[in-house]
Amino acid sequence: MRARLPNEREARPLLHLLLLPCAFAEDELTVSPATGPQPGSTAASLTVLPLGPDLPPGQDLASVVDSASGTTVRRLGGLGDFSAVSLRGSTFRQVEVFLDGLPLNPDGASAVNLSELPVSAFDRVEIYRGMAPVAFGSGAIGGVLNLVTPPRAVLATVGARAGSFGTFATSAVVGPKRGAVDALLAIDQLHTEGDFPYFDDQGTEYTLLDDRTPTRVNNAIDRASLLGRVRFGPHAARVTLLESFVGSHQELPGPISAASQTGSLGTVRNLVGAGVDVSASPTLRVLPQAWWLWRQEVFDDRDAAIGVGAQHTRDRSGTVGGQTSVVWAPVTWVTGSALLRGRHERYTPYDLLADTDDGDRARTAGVAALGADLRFWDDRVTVSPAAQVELLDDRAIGTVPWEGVDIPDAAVGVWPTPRIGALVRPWPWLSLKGTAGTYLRVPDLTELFGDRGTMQGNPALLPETGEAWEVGVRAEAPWEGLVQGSVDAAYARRTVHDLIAWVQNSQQTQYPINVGEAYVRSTEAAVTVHVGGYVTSQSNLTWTVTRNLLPDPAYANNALPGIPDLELNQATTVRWPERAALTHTWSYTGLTFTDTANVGFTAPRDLHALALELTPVPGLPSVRAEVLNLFDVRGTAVDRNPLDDGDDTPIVRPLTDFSGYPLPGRTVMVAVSWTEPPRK
Amino acid sequence: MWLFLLLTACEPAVKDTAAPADTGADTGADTGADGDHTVVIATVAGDFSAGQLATLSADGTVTDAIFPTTTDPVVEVDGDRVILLDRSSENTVRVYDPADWSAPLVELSTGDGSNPQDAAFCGDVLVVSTYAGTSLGLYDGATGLARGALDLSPYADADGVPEADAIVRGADGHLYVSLNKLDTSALPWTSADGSGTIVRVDCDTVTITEDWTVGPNPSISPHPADPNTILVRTGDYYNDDYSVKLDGALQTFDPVAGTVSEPLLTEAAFGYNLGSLAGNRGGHAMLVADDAYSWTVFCLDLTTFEATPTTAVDSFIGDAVTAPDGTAWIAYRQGYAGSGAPVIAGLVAWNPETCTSGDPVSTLFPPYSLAIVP
Repeated sequence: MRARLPNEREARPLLHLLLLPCAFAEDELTVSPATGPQPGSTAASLTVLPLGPDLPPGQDLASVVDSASGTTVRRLGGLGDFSAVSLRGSTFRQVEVFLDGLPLNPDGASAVNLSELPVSAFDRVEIYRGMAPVAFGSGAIGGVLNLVTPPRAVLATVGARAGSFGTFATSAVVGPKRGAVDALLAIDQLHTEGDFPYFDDQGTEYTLLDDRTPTRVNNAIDRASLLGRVRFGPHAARVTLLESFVGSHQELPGPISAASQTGSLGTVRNLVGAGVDVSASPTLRVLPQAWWLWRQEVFDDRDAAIGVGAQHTRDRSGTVGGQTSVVWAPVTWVTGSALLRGRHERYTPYDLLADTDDGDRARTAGVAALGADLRFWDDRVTVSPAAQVELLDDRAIGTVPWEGVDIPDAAVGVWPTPRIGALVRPWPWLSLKGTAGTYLRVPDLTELFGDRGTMQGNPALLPETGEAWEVGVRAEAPWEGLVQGSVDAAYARRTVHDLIAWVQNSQQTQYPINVGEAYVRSTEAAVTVHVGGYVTSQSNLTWTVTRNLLPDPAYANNALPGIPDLELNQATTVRWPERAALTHTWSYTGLTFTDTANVGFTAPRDLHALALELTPVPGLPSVRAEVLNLFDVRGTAVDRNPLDDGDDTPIVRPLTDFSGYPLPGRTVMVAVSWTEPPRK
Repeated sequence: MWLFLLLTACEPAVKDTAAPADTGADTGADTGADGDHTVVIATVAGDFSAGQLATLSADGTVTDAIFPTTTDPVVEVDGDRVILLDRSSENTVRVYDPADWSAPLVELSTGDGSNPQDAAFCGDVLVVSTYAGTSLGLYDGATGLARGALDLSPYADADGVPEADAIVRGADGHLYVSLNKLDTSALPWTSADGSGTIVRVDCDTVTITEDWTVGPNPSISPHPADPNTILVRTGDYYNDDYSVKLDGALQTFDPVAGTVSEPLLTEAAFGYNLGSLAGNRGGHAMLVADDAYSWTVFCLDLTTFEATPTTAVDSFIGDAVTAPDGTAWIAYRQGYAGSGAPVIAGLVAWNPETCTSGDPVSTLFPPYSLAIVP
């Protein structure tokens, strides 16, 4: 039954219900716009990027996320290889990733591999840099990525793409709707040989005769994923069931200097979720949800080609959780939000070589969050205070794994993370925003209790904490006309304490310790221009200054590793509506240090890509082609001896994100897809 | 993480080819830099994220940041040349003239994944041991071009790799190479069959001419007080559950007679894993030992093999070498054992005669591997 459409005054608090961060909270008949939360309507630094089956064939989630301001994506190779994101200079684990509001790495328990998440299954990705809505219950220091499934029924689309380095992928998305029941099924498959040529100087800066261009071996990936969603029930109590499965087998080629012929990693991940979106009244919405996340990784290095010594392990982890989000607008100028979440997670490593089960490790955690949006001056000013408390109880383990002694008191902790945001919209086209708050990442189970092997635990570890503030502005073209666009700019500063790092403790053993303090200053800008339906230009800039505040002269005032000082992304699309589109993309990545001591670095690089989409006859399949790394850049020039100011002799080092893991050169992908015509 | 594991798998160098030349007299080591010698230091950042070459000159001047290294480097001195080996993560060998650090005389790659451990000259041939290879690499000492290999596969254990380790020049001018013969099919790596091997590379013919079976996981070094013998340190590091394995011993090997002495000091009696040793011709040495988590330097009488402990530290101790004036330089790195013992980071000069030490000399990165340029 169609809901009564609220008037504008009533709609404003309801718009805040969109902060319920998932498709559970979005009914196709509500007032919610299809594009989800709007950057100009929230105090947070938010970027919303479209996903779906129609992206250029060389694009994956990592490349889409990397095109936004304030993001840095690092890859271990080409399409399908491990990739992870840093937000405003954070570590990968300081970014929490959600799928329709369900956490894939709660509390940053691991870095999420973006390559596991197919773009065709999702409608959009929301990138919250810094303060995220209360409904996520996240205190992530870096921020939040939320992948959102299509809010409405979708047209069926099937596609296939193929290209360089033995890459072949298929996808299908169907979204039928019958009465009050709608469903979504998205299936993706990817195979790549990953056998790209790369530059290898064999580590000899002065001997150029041994430079060579070998081919990456043992780098094939097979991955399949399925995402299913069913929604049913009346508008007042809409039920959503969600299933997301990923299975992959990938060969592990190792770094250039220790290339592996045989190592592999098998991964199975399954997420099951269920929720009921209860619209108790036009001003009260309650969303209880439950989920089960299960993951298994089988690491096979029986030839000791990757690590030290043969290993064949099977690690399983599972999380069972439940949460309830509430959004309540008791009066027109107040919208309150609350979240209560509990979860229990278990980690079970198994040594397949020794056929030994080392026992389970478990953790119970909870989050309680309370926030409000207080609107004044005819909604021109919104103030959003929020308070969040995180609770961790590691006593569920019983005793410290491997040692059998009682869990120390430090294994139970409660951490408050208050924050506040403000949004001022003097005119509808202008948004002035600012946030300030505290953030947190608690140590994971391996950091606390080790693995009985080379990694020793440290139960006394403190959580990584941070304080951050930011100011920003967004302006949208205030006129009606052919040329439309928007400008975003933000300045953010974050200080992080008690960073957790692994250090060598003795022969063959490592030990996690709290080290250091650092700050990150991030300046971001984005300009979007649309000229009718013919030209779209999107430009992003991120300038990041990082400083290691450790007093040790080896690190003092150094830049943090892995964070480029400057990133620029520019994409321009020229379109013949419904027939053709040509997109040129240019990305520049500035100097990036690869270690905390700032000795190693990757030189600045710029890469170009070109994508063409043709739909010769509307209603028939479209053809899309993309050339990544158009100019086949495989190396970057660096000083031969960066420690010697008198030696500026340039040499070429391999093109890498992670030191030792080469990135591919020119990559060509071609895709054919067909979307069913819109129903009349 | 695997990169880090690879790095941490390699024990810091204990394979000092620089023969001590002092008389054993008190050198006043507490001044920290007496004697006309330079300490070449491979330094590695405390978090093992980077490394670089540094020197400590005779006047006490520290020169940091000479050249970047990997995080698992080894420095050696052979005659008037300094050899820098970047082990598992880069697999390179560089030969320097210590009077000119601007560029290496020779630079070569031993091949991806080869993990070079030690190098020494056999005439004009540079002999390189690699931990992952089945042969000793032979390279032209002037150009670095490959000149073949010496097959070690007959000495390999069941995993097919003999784990060639330290190279020591004997009094006869030939090279001796210890083969660890570890079972690398599981962690932790331990001796495959309880024995190791020492082979002789005849520098006249550049061939392997003889071999001897010794104790498990052997590592050899020059005998400070007896140039006619070579010290052999044996023993695995860990048991399967990563507890300290005290199965090793210190012995001497007489390459002319081809005999190995009875154990002169056993880990079982000593109660520690045996580590690096730096001594003088007077028969006094500093011995590094550990229980896998905290480390202690002992003053060792090389005649009676009586060991006197100094203060235990929570530091991680890398390498120990002897200067021509008898000073034993020991590389202390910050450790995290948390036992409450002092933590020292820096280069410490010990006087083996008096069993006293000077204050630590700081380098930008903590010291990791040491060599002495006389």
